[in-house]
Amino acid sequence: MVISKENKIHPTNGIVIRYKGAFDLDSLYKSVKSWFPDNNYDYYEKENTEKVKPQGNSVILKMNGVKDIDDYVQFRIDVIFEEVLRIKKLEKGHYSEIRAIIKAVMILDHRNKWKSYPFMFYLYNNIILKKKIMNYYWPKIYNEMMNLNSLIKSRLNLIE
Amino acid sequence: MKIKIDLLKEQKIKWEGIIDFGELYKYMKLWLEDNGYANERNLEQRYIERIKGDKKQYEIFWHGTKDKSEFFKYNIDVAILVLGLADVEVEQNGIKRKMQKASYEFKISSYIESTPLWDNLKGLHRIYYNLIIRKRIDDYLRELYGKSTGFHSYIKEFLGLRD
Repeated sequence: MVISKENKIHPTNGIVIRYKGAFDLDSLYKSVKSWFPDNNYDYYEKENTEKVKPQGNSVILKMNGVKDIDDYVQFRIDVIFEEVLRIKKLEKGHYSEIRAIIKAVMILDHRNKWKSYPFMFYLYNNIILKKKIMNYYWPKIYNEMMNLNSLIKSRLNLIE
Repeated sequence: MKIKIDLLKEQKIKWEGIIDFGELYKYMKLWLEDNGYANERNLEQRYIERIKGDKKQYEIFWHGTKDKSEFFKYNIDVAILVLGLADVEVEQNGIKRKMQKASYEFKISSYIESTPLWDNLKGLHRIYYNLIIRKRIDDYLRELYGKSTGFHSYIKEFLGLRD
């Protein structure tokens, strides 16, 4: 496996969680939002859309977190709630449909210091730093991604 | 060399429904003024109102800026797009109020930028300041992050979106 500047940790389409049933979106949103600072990520909200529709409000949330591990490695985790459709209001939360996608990316040389030396950059990542990337950085971000996956699943009462 | 570091990149808030747009517009402006990012003259860079039948469309762009030091300034940009705005009458606590139904979109960006004074530094001056400033930039980024996400939350709160 060749290590490049941006390395996707997630499966090709991200980790996809689909759920249809009763849940509290506000509480799920708060848990995910606070997960980022709790894990030392800077939190950004790329999109927060809500549309009032006759069949129920439709919500799109695009959240992401960025963490500089050191001067060279940066982790980025995205959580996208696509078209949450709140069909029926319940006593707590809504009966809704949700599709959540989790993506994690490890970015090397995030300060672009090696930009002018692509061959050296390749050697550095694939020979000198490879062991540390595979044994330290990779498992670290993978575990964080799976931890977030478990959090979302637990909030939806899904099997972890 | 000019320094520009992006923080928030067009963070989007979109809401379709009924609000008092005039009030939101006023409060957003006041927030930027109160936090030193704007005054009445320099904030609004673009204000377009289009009338389409009985509905209106607005395209507004604000550029808020604040001097942090002699070498750096904070910037908060706001792009507002309002589509299909129509006046509706809503009764709140027994009082009839005129509000606006539309699709509202806000894009918030923030970044740190160096001033011309920094850009014109040369030789030893530049090396000296470079050593000091590099360390300070992280503090500046943290401060602007707090301010601009605070502004983002302020808009969401007004719209009744989760925060």
